Amino acid sequence: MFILREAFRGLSKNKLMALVTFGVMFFSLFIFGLFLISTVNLFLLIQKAEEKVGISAFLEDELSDNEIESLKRDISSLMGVQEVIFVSKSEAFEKFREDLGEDSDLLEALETNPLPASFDIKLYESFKDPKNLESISRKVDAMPGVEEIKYGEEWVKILDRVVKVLVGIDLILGVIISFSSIFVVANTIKLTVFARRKQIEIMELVGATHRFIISPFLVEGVIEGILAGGFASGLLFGIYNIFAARLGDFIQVTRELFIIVVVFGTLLGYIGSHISVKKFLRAPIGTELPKGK
Amino acid sequence: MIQIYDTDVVFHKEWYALKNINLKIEKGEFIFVTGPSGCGKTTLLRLMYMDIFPTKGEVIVAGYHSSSIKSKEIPFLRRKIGVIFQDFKLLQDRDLFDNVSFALQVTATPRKQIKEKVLKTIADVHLSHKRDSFPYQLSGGEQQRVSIARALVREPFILLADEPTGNVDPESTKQILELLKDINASGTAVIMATHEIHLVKKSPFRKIVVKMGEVIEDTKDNLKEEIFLDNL
Ligand SMILES: Nc1ncnc2c1ncn2[C@@H]1O[C@H](COP(=O)(O)OP(=O)(O)OP(=O)(O)O)[C@@H](O)[C@H]1O
Ligand SMILES: [Mg+2]
Repeated sequence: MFILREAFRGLSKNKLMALVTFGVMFFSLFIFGLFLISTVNLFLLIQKAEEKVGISAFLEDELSDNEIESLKRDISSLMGVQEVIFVSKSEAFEKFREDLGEDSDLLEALETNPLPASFDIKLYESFKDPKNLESISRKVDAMPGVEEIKYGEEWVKILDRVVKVLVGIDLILGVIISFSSIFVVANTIKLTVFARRKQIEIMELVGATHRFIISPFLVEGVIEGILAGGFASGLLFGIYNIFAARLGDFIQVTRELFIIVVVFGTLLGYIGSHISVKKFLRAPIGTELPKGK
Repeated sequence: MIQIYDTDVVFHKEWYALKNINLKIEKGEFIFVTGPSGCGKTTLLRLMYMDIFPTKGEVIVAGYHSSSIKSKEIPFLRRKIGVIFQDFKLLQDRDLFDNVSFALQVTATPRKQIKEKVLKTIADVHLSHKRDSFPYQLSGGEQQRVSIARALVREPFILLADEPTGNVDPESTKQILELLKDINASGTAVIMATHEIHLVKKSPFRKIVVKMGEVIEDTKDNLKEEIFLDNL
């Protein structure tokens, strides 16, 4: 087919330009891949931090098993509550001892267990913001048998703000990286198209449709984009494998990353070529300046 | 076939490249457009293949109106028109055969037809023996014949030639004129712009003389005088 033949002809006749375009795409996609890895980890971190967000409801000492059961049922029925876990006095004591570690000997001096029983209340993701936390806490606090409520108000507020700022920065960064990649790639491809502007002129002259004129360039761009995406994510995987052990379970690189980078590379090639070729369409054909002979 | 009504072309403010042009060109005519350099010959031809559009007035070519033609329709108009230039506009990285077949390939013509048509057209311009040559291996006159072949291979109803002999020697000029005459004899209208008045002087064909953007003479009639070429 003519379009494919032209595309390969373009790539092989202009190896240097094809290589430069590939290089620019590769670099853009590598940056894009790094950005993706950072984003995935950022969200992982946020998720981990938010897992810790929950409400502890400390109970009065003299509650019967029945009262505890019905209290648990009441709390579970509140909107936003995912799970309610009972922590008995002795469990709390065990945990406290573990937390102390070496210093746990000190506890031997105690005659009675001073720690209260409690409920660990886990919330659904969408209820882990300061407002919902406060309103749920207030409802639980008002229930009979609940002595005290703790959910780290200050920390939750800070976490909430930090998450919003980080996600915002991440989004803006993503948009900047995407658009500047397209801009740089389109400008690089423009050099390739410029070298072949005469061919475009002749195509217009003999009546090729614009779709037909653009197609070989799109095919070239997409081929280069796929290759650049493949190599860029390959390098990212290589780097990841070297550092993976050291960074432990922080970094998470998945097969999806590979696919996304290649898909973005394809888009980059497609959009980049489209933008650049468009600039050369409908250029005046018959404008040699008058010769004056 | 081609009609031009009350047409002005203005590139810069108040500077008329063409002014108040009215022309009618019939099927199969042979026309010379002459006049001094910068008078507007190229501009007139560009109007006809809709490379530019009139500032005022209307140009109608093969049923397409300059005022209403859609951007998407222009390629289909161009397929009915052959255009050649002083600078040939050949692709340097393709041989003669590929340069000619290019015009058919980019309009998605079936491969079998391409070969047949190209070979026939190359024969028509007497270049069969050079079908594997690249443009840099050909003389100016030969290159112009390649560009003529590329223009003709789509079998246009009209051939527009803008100074086709501007870059070739007198001997090739004669060959090219003869070729254009043959093409016209087979039914294709030919419009040739040139400032080489001596080429036109003794010609029997219709002459349109342009000066300062205006048509100052139009002989209308094509006199039949076979001696024209012999007198060159
Ligand atoms: N694209 C353009 N922009 C501005 N002015 C132009 C443009 N094209 C042509 N002109 C002007 O319009 C006038 C007519 O130009 P045109 O090229 O039609 O002349 P010509 O008769 O073909 O000349 P020549 O014999 O030298 O080829 C000239 O004065 C030229 O400077
Ligand atoms: Mg001219």
